[in-house]
Amino acid sequence: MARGTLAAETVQAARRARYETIRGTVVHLLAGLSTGRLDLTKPANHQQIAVAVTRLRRYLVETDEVPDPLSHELQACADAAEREGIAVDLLAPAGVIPALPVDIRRALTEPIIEVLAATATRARITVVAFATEVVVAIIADAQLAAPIAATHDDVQVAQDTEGGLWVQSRWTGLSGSPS
Amino acid sequence: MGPVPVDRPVRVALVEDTDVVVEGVRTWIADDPAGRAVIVAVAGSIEAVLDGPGRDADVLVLDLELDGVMVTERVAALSDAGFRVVVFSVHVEPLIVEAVMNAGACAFLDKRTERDHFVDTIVAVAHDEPAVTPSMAGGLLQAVRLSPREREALRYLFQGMDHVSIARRLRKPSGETISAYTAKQYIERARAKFAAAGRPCRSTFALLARCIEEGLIRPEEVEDYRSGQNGP
Repeated sequence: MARGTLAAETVQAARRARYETIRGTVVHLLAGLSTGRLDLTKPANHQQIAVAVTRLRRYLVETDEVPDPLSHELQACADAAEREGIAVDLLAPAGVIPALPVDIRRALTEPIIEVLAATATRARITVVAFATEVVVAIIADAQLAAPIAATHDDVQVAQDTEGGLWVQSRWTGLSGSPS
Repeated sequence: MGPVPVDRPVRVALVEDTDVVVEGVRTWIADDPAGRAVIVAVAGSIEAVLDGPGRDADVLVLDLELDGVMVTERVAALSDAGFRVVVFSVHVEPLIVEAVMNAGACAFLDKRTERDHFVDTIVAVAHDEPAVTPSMAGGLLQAVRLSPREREALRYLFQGMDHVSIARRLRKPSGETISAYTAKQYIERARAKFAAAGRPCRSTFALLARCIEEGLIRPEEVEDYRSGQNGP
């Protein structure tokens, strides 16, 4: 029975963790919407909701059994943006993406989600991967209110606003850059 | 097959089975302000294009999927026969790009997103110059041993930056900026290395000769890459 209990506890812990993640993302937005406190005519609020919706879509696919979870999650982000009428060009990754834990994948896709929420009409998303380096980038006609910060110690975020917005998130493994 | 003289328009043969795409290509070529290219043949199969004025074209633009069949394995024979093949396709997976480039294709154009590169690429290829489109950069990145700067420049190109933006990102460690011309040279040198290391064929020799002439790569380096020594 011990094994059954353990499994049940694991499932419950995973559910709790997922609930906590989602609560941070959407619960306060839903509360704001239901009380009318959140003014939808303000672009910033609209963007906040777009970010939340896209994060939810990403959470939903994080546990899917697929050979390339990062591309799968980026596809979910791209699909969410396309529903908003944005033309997203998500290219097939250059290189084979190494297995990455979910917190690294989230840190890599988070800047992409933020840019997509601020994008007016079009975006191009690329992934370049080596064994110890994965670089996700987006170029879009978007304007950010504030620079995007990294959300994980092993993932750096870089951005450039000159001539269209470019944002890049880059993970490097323990053995450093592959050059 | 020497390079096309710069004072006459480049003759383009197009192998494409979708009418709307053919119309698009005709428009892009007609809209080029300098009139640098003309279409001499269009058909939905390789045989039909080569069975007419298409066989004397300077550049053969090839859709990779004709009537639902992939013609990827035809690129090598066409390149060996002396055609400058430019692949024009929606199949932009870096592995496919790398395979057709290695078979001898001179360039790769993404059908969905690279219309702005179309005429420039065709003209560069006709003059045996190293043309690198953003979709090609993804394939080249993994295939060759590159210097850190060459790899960075290719990565930014793949991400969708133009040469000016790439140069801005490639600032020297001292903070000094580099020119768009220098950024372009990093990319062209990566292309030359790929050609040197790849399958020998006529299009590759013409490209390498041009790259040596332009000082992008030295003859002895070509030998190193060819024999797999992959010097820095």
